[in-house]
Amino acid sequence: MKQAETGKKAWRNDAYSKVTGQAEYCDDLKVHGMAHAVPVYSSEVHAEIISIETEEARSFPGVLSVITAGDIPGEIRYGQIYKDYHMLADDRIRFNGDVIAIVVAQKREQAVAAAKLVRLNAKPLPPLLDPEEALKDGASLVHEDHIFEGKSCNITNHHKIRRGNVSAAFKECDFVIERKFNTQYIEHSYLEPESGLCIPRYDGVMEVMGSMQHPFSTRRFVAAILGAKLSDVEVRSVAVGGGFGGKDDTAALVCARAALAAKILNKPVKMTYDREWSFRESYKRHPYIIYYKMGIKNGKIHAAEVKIIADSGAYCSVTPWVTWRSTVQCCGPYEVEHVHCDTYGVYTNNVFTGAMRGFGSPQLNFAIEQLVDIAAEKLGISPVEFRKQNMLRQGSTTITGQVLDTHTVSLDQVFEETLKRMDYESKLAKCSRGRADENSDELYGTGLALSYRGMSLGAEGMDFNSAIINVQPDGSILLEAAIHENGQGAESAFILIAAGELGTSVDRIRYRQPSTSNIPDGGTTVASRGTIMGGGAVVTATRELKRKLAMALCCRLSCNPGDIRFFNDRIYGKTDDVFLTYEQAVHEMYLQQEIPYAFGVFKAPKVSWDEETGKGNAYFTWVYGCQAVELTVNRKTGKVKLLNMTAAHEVGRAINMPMILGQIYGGMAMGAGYGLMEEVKVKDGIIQNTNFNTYKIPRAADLPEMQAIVIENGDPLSPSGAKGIGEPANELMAPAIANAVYNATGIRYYSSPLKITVENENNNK
Amino acid sequence: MKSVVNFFLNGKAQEKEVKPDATVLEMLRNSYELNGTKEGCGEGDCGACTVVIGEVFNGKIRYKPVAGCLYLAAKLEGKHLITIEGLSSGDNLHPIQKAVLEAHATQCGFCTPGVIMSLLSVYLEHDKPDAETFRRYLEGNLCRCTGYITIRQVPEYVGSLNIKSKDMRPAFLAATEEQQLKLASEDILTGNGKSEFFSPVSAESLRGFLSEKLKSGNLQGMTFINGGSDVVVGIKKMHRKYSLIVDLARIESLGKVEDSGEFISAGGNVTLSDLADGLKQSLPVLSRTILQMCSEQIRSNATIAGNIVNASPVADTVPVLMAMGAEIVLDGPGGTRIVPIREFYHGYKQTENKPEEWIQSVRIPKNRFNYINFEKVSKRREVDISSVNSAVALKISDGVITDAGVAYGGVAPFTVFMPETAASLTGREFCEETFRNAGDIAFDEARPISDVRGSAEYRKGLLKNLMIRHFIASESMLGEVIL
Repeated sequence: MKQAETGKKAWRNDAYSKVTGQAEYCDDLKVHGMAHAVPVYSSEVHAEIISIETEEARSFPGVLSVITAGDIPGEIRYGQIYKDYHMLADDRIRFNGDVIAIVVAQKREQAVAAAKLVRLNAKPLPPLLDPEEALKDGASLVHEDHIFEGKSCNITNHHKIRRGNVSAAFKECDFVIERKFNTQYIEHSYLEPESGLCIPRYDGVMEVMGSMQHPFSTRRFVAAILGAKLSDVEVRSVAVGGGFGGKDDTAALVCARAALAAKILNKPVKMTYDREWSFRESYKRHPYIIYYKMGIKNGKIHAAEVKIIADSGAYCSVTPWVTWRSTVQCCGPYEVEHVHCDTYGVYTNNVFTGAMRGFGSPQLNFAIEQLVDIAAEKLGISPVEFRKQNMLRQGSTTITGQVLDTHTVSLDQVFEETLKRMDYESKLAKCSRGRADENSDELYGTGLALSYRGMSLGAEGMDFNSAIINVQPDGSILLEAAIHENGQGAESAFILIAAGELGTSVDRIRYRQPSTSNIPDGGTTVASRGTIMGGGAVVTATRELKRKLAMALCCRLSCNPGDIRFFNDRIYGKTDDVFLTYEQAVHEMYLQQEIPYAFGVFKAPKVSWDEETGKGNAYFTWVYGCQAVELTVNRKTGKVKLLNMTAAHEVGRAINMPMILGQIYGGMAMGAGYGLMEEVKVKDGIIQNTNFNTYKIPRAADLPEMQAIVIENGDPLSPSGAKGIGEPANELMAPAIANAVYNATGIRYYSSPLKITVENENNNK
Repeated sequence: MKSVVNFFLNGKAQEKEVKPDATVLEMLRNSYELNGTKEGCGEGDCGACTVVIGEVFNGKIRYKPVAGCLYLAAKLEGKHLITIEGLSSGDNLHPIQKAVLEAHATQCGFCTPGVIMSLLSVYLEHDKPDAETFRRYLEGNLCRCTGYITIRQVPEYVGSLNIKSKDMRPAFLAATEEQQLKLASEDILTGNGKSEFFSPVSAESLRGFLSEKLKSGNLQGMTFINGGSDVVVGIKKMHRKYSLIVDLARIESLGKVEDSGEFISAGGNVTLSDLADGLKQSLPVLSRTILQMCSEQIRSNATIAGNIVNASPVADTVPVLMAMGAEIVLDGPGGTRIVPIREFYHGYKQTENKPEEWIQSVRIPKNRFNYINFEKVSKRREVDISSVNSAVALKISDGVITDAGVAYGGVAPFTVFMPETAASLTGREFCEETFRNAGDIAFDEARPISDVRGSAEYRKGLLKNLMIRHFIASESMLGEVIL
């Protein structure tokens, strides 16, 4: 029997299907009579649409329909925060990835061929591509009807922190460091491109399957485009080939367009994206411009003034939420008395930007963790020492005024563990600082970075989740939660949590592939909230089930309800010789007309936020992490060789250890890509690299050995004790690399990815 | 001559009419409903579509990983196509699948079938594969979830299962191999008049076929392929149409690597993978250059001839061949002729060969130079396309350069031989100053291009740096005779 010792026993409910190739992803599904839809793009970046000519495409063999915005029965415009996304462009092209029409044909290749025959007549408009230009008064407007704080402008949001008195504080400082940082666009690079399959069902419901990480968001987009009620759309889960935050808006849009075609043709329609379309249209991680001023007094970070400009591109998506997290975490895991932060999201005609693993923290950490090293050097002390002098500890107050006393503040723990495992300080002393050993061109460096991270959504939005547990007549158990399996192992974590609570084997519990028509909307599977929120709901549901079982079975087990114990895959009375199997227990319940079914809700504890002052308990709990790297830089070629990467993360309680390690390894790898090689190149508003031949993500040979240290401090505010790991693992490696490259070369890089200049280049200048 | 393709799919014989431009990936997913093979990029960069192909080679069957998205189904004649679905039956998992489970090497799972097939190709060809072999075979598989740590641990878990190497072979291999070896080779012509695929088994029948074609019209819309990787990307991504695809891969006489003492001669359909292995001792710089290009899934079918005629300005083998003064032997209905590679390119994608001529072999002089170096500038260590690349070939005696060849790619519409730069090296002392001076001359001699991989200005700067890198690399190799 597989004993559910959570945290120790590794297990995945979907692994067998994945190693045998049986797991069905959306594009693997086929339905009788299914048609294929493809998007049509234009060559424009910003233009006024005069007309869209579809006749030629319509007459192409096999084409069933060419659909434009005028054919939409419901809403043309939708969006998670502002309804600014034209699901099919109607008035203007606002970025090069805008879809002007959908071609539907019997065969996909017919649709692809016919798509080239759709003609756009448009009047090109000058594109607005520089976010700082877009912020200025008098800039042309990306959305003419957009109003922010009472006026027409390109600003999507403005978050603030006003803590202490920054201008007075800077005068008291021993020194002030002022730097500008730039970060790049990042493509999520989930291995499976977007896909949606929509089936008009006989009962009038539009059934949707797709590669998405938020079925409920998809349902809202689909219902909006169809003009349908939410109950008229059922979104079902299928295997998803990775999301990393990237399968929300765009994935929902793909499904919405497929649903529109399915509705119009009254037949099943599948829409699967090419990698090129995915690169072109899907939202990216926001590039940031960060102006940072950090004042140091008596070895402490005394004041920080931060201005952040995030390019939201043509649509808002979740920019206000992403940038809110950047604002809250704008000083990193340090105590700072005086903080003044202004964060702007701004519309441009670039590709739109949205959620990506990290959600506003990777950009800020890239700046802060370098600044901290710079400050330490100016002080003439070790960056380790400087961090120790400034970091948040048990009972510390964050820059938003939140006192960290409801959970174990484990920043010092993750830091110490990393230092110890790496033997960091002695390695730091060996760094080349631009001077290679004789007979070698390799410069050695090591660097690290620290972070804290608010768990789940915080004051960003409504935060709750639910789970359903339903014991069957034979004693087997169906479980589901309103969190989506994107490949990270959420379902397995929930089974392990439920099995742990119920004392059953994992084999007894089957995860029911959820549908939006069966379980209430639990919010999106983002913000590293899957395990903490979904797991919390699973715990609540199992406890409710145990209460019901105890009430119903106590007589039969000759004890009080409180005496009943759940272990060894059975239900025991007071002594170990009195027990019922699950099958017997269900039988007994049925005799009593009791249903062994429970619904559990986990509501996130209260958080608070004041938009004007930036004060509040932003998140109900936090996690802490530290990542470090050793590398060499060849001073003549500029090539960086990663030697090893180490991470220590606090996760609350560990549920499924190998999956946690997997998240950490994968997060470090993605962070290395952010620091060293990945960049979506945009020229005049057009993305230049639209596949993996030109957009480089790390390959196996690019990555070194990795060590992961998992620290457990069960969180009292999380019913399962668990917190999250997906994003913390991805927010630290880029600044650790930047610090290591500095320690190797003596050169600071303020833009990501680092573009290493080599000695010859300097000589040639 | 026949119009159907006979092959084996997971141990079962198939006879199929295939469309000339259909890929193995499309065929598996659309007509066999075998969906375990995934499409992640459609251009051979991600490895999610990796399948294993068993083929007759030197009288035996050998297995190799292949990118299903770039391999035309019509090329399957006589081959054994193995997919993830062929590895397990019921609850009986293949040892690699068990090891992936044990190592927790699957997360979202989209890359997993491809990873498993890459590993299978290793175990089918190697009794005791070493770490370098695994690295070589896994570099073509992208994974965004795991950071590859758990994937790299899979071999360790396979080892711990104590499986005999013969038990790594799926049960159906032995019987299939027997049948494969018995198959007669025959020319294949599939498709209709608008779009045809011709796969001859001899140069004679190809010459005859093309002579007929020439008589009845022109050869517009015709292309030769070997691996087909570039041509298929063109078909699938740029929507190019070909009226006739002629596959050279089954012509046995094009498949040899020979060493005459004076030349190394690589046949026109020798795969990059075989060439890299074959030249490991005799021409290690070219072997290494090839192993830095693309991935095993592509190298297993792509050829040096394809790299040459594709005429990409950043083809990696071409600067090496050009610096060394290689010659191209062309064959065709009009007979054979020899063209120095330095005179092979006339403009962007314009080459010396006539439409009806194919590369019979590439001859690389063995004794002219004793130091050769290749350098490329690209973002990622492996599987990357260069923005600029360069090769130098030098004859050095007593510390003086007595003969030099210099070629650059990515700085002009085609790879260029740089006679002035070469001349500036000749007769000079082998020292950094010489190379710095040569870098300045190269800077003036080149005409860079701008594209997504780098601006013209950026490339010009790189020219100088690459020349100095040649010195650094050569210096570290001084005394080591490469040829």
